[in-house]
Amino acid sequence: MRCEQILRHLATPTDRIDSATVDAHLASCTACASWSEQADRLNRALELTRPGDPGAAAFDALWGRVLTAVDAPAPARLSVRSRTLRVGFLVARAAAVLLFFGLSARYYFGPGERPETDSPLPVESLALVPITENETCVIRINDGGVEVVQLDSSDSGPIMAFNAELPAGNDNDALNLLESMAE
Amino acid sequence: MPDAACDLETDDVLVAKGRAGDRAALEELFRRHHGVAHRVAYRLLGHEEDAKDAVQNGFIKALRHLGDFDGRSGFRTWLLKIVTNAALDLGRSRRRRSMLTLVDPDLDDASGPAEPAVDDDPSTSLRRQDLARLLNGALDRLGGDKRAAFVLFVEGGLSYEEIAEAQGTPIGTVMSRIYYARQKLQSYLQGVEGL
Repeated sequence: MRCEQILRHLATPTDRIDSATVDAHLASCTACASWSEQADRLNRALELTRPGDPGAAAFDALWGRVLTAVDAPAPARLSVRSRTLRVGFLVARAAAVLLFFGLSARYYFGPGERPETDSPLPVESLALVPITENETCVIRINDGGVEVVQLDSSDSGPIMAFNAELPAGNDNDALNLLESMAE
Repeated sequence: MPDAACDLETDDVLVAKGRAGDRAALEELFRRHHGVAHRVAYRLLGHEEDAKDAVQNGFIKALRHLGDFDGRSGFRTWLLKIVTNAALDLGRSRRRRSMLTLVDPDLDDASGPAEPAVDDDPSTSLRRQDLARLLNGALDRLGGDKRAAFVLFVEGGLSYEEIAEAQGTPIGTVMSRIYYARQKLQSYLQGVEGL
């Protein structure tokens, strides 16, 4: 029996190899015996670090949240026009944030007061800016100015990555993508 | 509380009742499977609170879309597939947030390993936390598919066939993923004392 077959059997047991064959191989092959010992160590590590079931209070709280969400009416599907407006609104909000930071940077440096340097800023900075309670905006600040990179929702992750390519030639797909992230 | 009669029903019967609006049947499905869902999510995320969020998101999606469950696989397989996707999505989202806000995940207070319900020996608890941190870090270095296949096997208790169904890949691929994951994880544990 080849070592690789034994190791694969130890990692992913099947009934193709019987235990007597495995035991006989391990007794005569120190490399496979060592691998088997390491497998036992991993199993013990998994056992030691396995999380227990949440208690009754956690169960009730979690189930309560699940049931509330399941019972809530499903969000109404918006018409294409409404969805276009929704995406437009998100873009407008991002533009407002961009304008705010652009003006802030201009005010901070003042006309003609921007520090002159031969090289761009050495480090490009990213910052997370809250827009609403659940939504944030990622901005990139460097020598070239301030740029909105991404809108994020705490519920659904990214709403829009401004450097991402949306599906070309299919507006509906793009709307679906943006809306699913926005919800 | 779920109806006592629900205890005896199969998952398929509970799903049928749940589709008809039986809340007790849904709660029984939750009671039966939230533990395994939590273990799977915890191994995928390495974070207790994130695991609870992933379980919550997964159950909400599953119970809202019970009509999509076609019965080809068992309910647990179907549910764990949804919870796994929810956990991987959450992991990607949290990782990106951590990078953007320059938060070191290792320093996050809430990211510690699962605490045992009762542990009288502080040194044992500390060792377990160190071990969990090491294991979570090692799992995190595996690719998403390998990590998911391994976790569904060792924590979800799914068969190779069920994992193949969940991942949409051949059984041989699933077995290779588990083999590779185990080899990697074992190598990370080399030199760890007390195991």
